[in-house]
Amino acid sequence: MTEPYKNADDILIELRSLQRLFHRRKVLDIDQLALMRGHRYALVGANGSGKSTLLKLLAGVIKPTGGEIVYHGLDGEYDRAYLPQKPYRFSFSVRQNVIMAIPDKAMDKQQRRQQAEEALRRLGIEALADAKGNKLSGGEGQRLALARLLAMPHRLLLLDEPTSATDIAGNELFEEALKNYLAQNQSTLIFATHTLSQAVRLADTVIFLDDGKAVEQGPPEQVLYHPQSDGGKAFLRFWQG
Amino acid sequence: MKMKKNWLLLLVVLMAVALVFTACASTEKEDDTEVTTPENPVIRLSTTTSVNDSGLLAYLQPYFEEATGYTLEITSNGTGAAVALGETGDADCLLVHAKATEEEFINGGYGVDRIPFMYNYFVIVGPESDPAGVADATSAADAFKAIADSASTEFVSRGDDSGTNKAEMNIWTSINVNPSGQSWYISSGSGMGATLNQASERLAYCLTDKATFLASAANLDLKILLASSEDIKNTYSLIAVNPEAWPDTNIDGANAFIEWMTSDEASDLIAEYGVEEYGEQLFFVMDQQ
Amino acid sequence: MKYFVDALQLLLGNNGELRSIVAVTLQMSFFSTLISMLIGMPLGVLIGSRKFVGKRYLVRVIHTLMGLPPVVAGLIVFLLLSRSGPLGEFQLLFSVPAMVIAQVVLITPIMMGLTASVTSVRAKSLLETSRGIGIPRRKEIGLLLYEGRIQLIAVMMTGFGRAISEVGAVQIVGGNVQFKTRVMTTAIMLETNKGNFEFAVALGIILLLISLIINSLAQRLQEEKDD
Repeated sequence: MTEPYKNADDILIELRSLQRLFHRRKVLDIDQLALMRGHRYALVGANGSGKSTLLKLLAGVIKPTGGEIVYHGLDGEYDRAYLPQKPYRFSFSVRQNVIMAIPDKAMDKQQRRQQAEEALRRLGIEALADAKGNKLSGGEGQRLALARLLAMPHRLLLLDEPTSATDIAGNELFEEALKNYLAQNQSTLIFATHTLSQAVRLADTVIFLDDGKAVEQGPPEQVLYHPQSDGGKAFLRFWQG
Repeated sequence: MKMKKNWLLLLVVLMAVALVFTACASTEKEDDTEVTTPENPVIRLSTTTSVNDSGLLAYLQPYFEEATGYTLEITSNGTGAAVALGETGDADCLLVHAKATEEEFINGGYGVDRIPFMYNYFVIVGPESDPAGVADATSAADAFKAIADSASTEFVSRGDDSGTNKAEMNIWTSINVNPSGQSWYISSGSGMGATLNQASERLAYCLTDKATFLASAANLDLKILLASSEDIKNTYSLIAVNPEAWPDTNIDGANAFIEWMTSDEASDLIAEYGVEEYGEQLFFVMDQQ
Repeated sequence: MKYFVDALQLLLGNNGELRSIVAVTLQMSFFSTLISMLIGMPLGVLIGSRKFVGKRYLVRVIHTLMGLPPVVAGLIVFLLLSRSGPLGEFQLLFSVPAMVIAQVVLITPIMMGLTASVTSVRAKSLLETSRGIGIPRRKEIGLLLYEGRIQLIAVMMTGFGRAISEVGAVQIVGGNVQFKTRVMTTAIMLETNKGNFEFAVALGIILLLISLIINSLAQRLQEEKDD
């Protein structure tokens, strides 16, 4: 992915002079960035570098202070799906927690139920379908939150540290389910992560954020192991201990 | 044995402290008044809210205290509670206006003697339009009959067993009407002021003491329709709480208060009360038998 | 002790006035709580879950109103409903609806303030999640109310407790009319003033029993939901 601007038709999202202030401090300040359809982006950077803010802005959960985000072909109500860093688990049954993420327009009750149970199966928590969502352990809850997103075909998945609370087994199961989902639905993925190995496993492009700015973008091997920017170098030094 | 000694010691200390305090109090008093302070200078007077609201006691109090050296502690409650304070020994003297209750109190051995000392008249107030024609009545009983017979008018009662309420109930009984539960009969369970407010809001009739009515008349859409009929005479009495029932009550103080209230000095003061403010006398002193 | 024995006899007996007082009290408290909930809880959820200009000042105003002295609320409602007041034509003064209005004025800010603080704890995470999976925004208030229901039961009980134990405002606007607007608290005041302590104690016992029963029910409800 050395040249992402090959074909303008492939642009899914454009960011133009995007700014977000928090208590008068610029937490995000991206001059120009294009995100391409069908790609898998990993957002990498230190805490407070703007990863979560960018995901929330893309999800529409918060509004930009300045600039704009232009979406191409993401007009449907369910085209975008977003997983916050601390997803909420409703006190319904685990099954109902997933069913509520499937709109009732397209499908009848029985189909929604089957689809929800299929999603739970893919993340290995189908046995917990009747438990209360708010009674799950941290790892189980995280898998439930992922199941909720994977129960519907979305064109864009926005995940904020999706495996921060799962155990290793859950992690593998999730990455497997996610890859299948992306292949099946030809969805675009943008996710924030602290695990560089996960970025390598899941992403084809890494965007390195430093102090609210997108300072580097490229294939994982390049950005993570041969960073050009000062921030990137410092980050790598930190990771290598 | 040891315990008992400790208790005795404590008692002695407490008494000594109390003595020192009373001694201080009396010397202070003696500085600015020539009257010698009585041994037990505090009189607990229990009275009804309507008496207290009329302001008469607050007006008489400084004259009495200066003349006798006593200090008056006034508590005001509904007639029932005011008398109950005498029954439980929490008052030395009563100033109330409900004859039957007073006699019951004395027969129960709680009071020494009932001394009627002043009176006034209840008045019947109502809307200016006077739909029941109360203004034409010659007595309160006639007026009450007219109100009971008139379908469209309401009567607001205090319904709190107060002296006023008892006087009202006596009139209903005298004309053989039981108003309780009737749609036109509003039992407000409130003091005189609140009951008058309610009567004004409802444009209803009400039996009230004159002093309270005059005090709040400016804010009420009510008028005096019947005044000074013999059957709504309101007699106020003084009763000293019987020391045989409650030995630690201040019987000397109670007697001193009664004596002063029936004196010429007090009689003149009572007759003058309210004349300046309302242009008429509010309380009338009884002829001494 | 004598009072308690007499009071128990009154309770077990067939006293029409006592029953009327209890019925009016429950009626008034029920409707006051219900209406305050219907107004206060959704608004409380909105305040607790949204960010908007002037929110801090609004919250400060609500917290002030939460401490509104009941007699002041009673006085305001009295003046509004009085024959000479702006709403005089409805002739509501000295009626149960008047008492309910005064109570709603008193309790709604309490419901609103407590609901807002209960909601704010989970609002951010819940809204990010529900918006993230495309749940329509019109469903958000319902979800926040549902997820906060255990605490909201306690909020409701607080409101009911205020309603049933309030005396100043209901005395002013209700007028303590026998068989119509006399409630337990105003009746206790009146009977105490009459020196009729047995009746007052009997009412006090009922008041405590009702509180006990309702709190037990609420606790059961909370425990069931918590399973």
